Amino acid sequence: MSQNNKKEYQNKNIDNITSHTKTPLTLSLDENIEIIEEMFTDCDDIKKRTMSLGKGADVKACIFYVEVVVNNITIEESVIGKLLSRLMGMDRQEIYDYLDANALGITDVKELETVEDAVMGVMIGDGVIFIDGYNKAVKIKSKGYPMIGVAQSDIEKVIRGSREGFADALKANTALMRKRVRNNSFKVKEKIMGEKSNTTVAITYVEGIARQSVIDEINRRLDNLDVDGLTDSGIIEQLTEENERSPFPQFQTTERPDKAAMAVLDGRVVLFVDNSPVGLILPTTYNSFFQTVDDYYNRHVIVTLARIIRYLASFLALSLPALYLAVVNYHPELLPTPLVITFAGARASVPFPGVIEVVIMELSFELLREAGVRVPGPMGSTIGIVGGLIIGQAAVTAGIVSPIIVIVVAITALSSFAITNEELSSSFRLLKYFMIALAYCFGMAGVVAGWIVILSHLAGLKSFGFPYLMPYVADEINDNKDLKDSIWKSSEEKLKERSIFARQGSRRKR
Amino acid sequence: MFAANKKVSTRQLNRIIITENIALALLMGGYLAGELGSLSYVWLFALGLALSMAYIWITLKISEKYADKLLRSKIFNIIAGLRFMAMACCGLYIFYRIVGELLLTETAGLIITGGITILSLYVASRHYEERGRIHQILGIFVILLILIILITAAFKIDLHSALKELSSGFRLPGKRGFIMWLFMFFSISYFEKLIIVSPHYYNSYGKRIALLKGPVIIWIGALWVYVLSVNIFGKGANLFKLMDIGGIPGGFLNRQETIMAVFLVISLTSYVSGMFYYIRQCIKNIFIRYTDTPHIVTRRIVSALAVMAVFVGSVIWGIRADGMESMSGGKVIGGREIEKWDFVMSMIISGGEEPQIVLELADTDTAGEGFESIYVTYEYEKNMDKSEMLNEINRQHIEEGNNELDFSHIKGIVLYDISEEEKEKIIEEFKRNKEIAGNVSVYKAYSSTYPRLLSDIKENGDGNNIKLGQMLENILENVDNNRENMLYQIK
Repeated sequence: MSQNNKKEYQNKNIDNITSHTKTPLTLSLDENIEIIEEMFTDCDDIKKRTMSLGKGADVKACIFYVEVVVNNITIEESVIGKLLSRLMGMDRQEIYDYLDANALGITDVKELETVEDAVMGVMIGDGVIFIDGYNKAVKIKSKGYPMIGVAQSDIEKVIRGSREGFADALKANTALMRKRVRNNSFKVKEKIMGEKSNTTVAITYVEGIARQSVIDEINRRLDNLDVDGLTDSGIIEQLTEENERSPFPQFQTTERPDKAAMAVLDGRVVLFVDNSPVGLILPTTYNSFFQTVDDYYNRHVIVTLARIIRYLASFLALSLPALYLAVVNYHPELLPTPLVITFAGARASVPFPGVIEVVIMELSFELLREAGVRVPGPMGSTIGIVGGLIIGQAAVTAGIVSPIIVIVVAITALSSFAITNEELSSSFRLLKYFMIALAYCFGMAGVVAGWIVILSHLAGLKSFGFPYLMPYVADEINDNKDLKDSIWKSSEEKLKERSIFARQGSRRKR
Repeated sequence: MFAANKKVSTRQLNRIIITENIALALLMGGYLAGELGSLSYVWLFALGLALSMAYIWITLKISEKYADKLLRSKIFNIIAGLRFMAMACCGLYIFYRIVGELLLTETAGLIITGGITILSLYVASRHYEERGRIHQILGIFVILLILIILITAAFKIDLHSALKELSSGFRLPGKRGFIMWLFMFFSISYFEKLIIVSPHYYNSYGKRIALLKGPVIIWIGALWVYVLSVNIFGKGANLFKLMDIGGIPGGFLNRQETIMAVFLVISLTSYVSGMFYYIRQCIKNIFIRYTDTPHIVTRRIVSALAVMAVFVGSVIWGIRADGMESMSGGKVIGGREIEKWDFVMSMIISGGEEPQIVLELADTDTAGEGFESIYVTYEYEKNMDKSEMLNEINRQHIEEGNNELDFSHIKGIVLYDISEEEKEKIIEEFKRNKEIAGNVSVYKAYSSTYPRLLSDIKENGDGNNIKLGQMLENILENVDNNRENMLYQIK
């Protein structure tokens, strides 16, 4: 190969295999090896192993693989090893015919015709074999990159239901979905995204139930995405949502296969990103965040109570500190007289104004939360207990804050934890400060104005065309049927139809 | 994509119309009828309803034929735009009054009204289809609040006398002309709205039904609220006064003025934002005849000027109506920390040659064990203007190094040796003072009991468990015909 060609390949990166011009492999093993080696310059984790195949050991071959992903022992004992052993006893032409026919019947064996495909094959974690005189490379699946396997989800715990959670590997996640939706109409469409990272993204849905317009729209958004590296589904979420300035999430996230399966059966689409245990469910509405998967495993009366509590929790998480400030500063007449006197007595020795008190305690709680998340192991939960009990009590005893505010902040914190989705809960954590500012400045008028602004924003928000506040707005489109599974839940007997997310004509479940 | 046609359904139209107008209908209907107290309200409402429906039916017929032409007509859009500006002024003025009188008596209503103007603009900037969703969700809260108010208030009215009042109301109104013109002024807005948002309808039959249902619901609601007001306060009742009713101060659901105020803020914002939306559409229609782009700056400037004119106009109107006092002393941040108040539990006002006021204050230092009471005495001048009496007492209290007085938790007032004329003035002043709840009991002490009352208080002094306010509260709850002693009932 000429020096110019060598330099060309040395500088070439596989930025995006779908758009890059493909270079066909040649019949010469040496040429192919040279090209591949040039491309993997300074990639010391990419290993090359040469061998001689055939009866007379006259057929040179070479395998490229990522170290650790495909180690020497694996090569010997795995499918790759078995293939190579088989090829050892064949003539040259037999080897070529055998490979053409894939006579061994190995699943997930693929023939690659271009340099770029071969490089991508190695990058994915498979072993790629080049054989002298054969102008294709053979990619054979290996055990894959190291990863955490299927484990219980830490952030979505349920009382009743499966304990499985998604893993880091995309293949494992789609397999968990397939385990629950054993139907050929359950589709898994993969894309490669990320110019440098070449990460696999899978779009899963049930054909015939999911709306084609939604599928087309998510495909369009993903195709228009220009991203360098894709390490988590959160990046896709931020880059494809309709209103990036909104504090409210427009995708629903889940680490639970049963929840994702339920979503696709309801006509929604679930997105997976390789190396991310979090699936993205779309479209979504505000009501979706208050539905947990075990709501459908429990009795509807109990579930209705639980949902009312969750909605109440969302209201308290957003408004309780603001209401406290508005009442004590502007509307003490709202409180019963003994409570007013108690509040006044408790606050008499506190040196700070009410708003400073509230902000101090809220920020302290945020610090505790961050510390609890970052500190590993049992110390994380201990910090929460220590902080909550001891620091709160100490602050009251020292006269920095009044006991009332500790109660207010504690209830606010509990309410934010009661919201089932962490992203929605975070949006309330943020908006709470906005409400506090309004309440301090304008009392109840400010609180109401804040509610109006937030409600107006929510009313204008859409997720893939679906109004965010469905089914509380615009539900007449579906004859108000979605209200049966909103803040209250009807019995399973009455939930005979899928929600508005499903394509028209395919909503009947039974 | 799903739901991208930007049209409104019949139900959405219904909701938009109702939520845009509910505040005005309930306020205007009740307020106006109360102010013109001699008129028969039943005929009034029936007339208003009939006129509205008839007018809408006629205008529907006309608009269906000429909607496109009118939309493009500059004259129509100018006239409609100016009328919507006037109605927006009205809405902001009402809001300004509510803030100043009910919500935040020490805070500059100007700042808050300005905030609501901006908020209304934000809501008005949305597309009509989005407004439908906004109004739908706001409507849920409005209806919820109204239900709370109406249900709790309904338990307080005397049904027998309400029916009696209703039956006596079938008299012909004396000022028909004025009322008819006033209701026409508001009713005609349906016609203009119809024209302006006609591109957004997709079902003309549904549009008709929605527009006809709207006024029916609004006027029926207005009638119900007015019946409540009249029954509780008698003729000449004012809807604002409905908020003075309540149980003993301090119960959340009993202090309906805050619930009512929340309802009014939401519904007035809907109303004002609606007006701003139609103003913008009128301005857009005037300019859209040519092309959008060259006139977009002009349109925005004109829109901004229109909004400023509305705001300034409403405030100026407010200043003229209320006088400068309503704006003076207002602070942007008018709140006061709860511990910086001295709460008055009861008050004894005695006249005679050495008039004085004895205040029972809650001792917050003993809050933990069920608070004790402290009694303080202040003198006032015999011929003092009663509207200044409470301010004078407050001033004296502060001069002694104490906190400002808060009368919102007062349980009872005792009057002794007060002439009838003075008593009327005092009662009127207390009714005017929004801090004092309308259901505070007022008693008259007799010469045989008053000295004993005073000596008991003075003898026991601070913290010796004489709680006059609590005693008065118990009397109110346990004695028959106790409503006669409530402040709002005293004529």
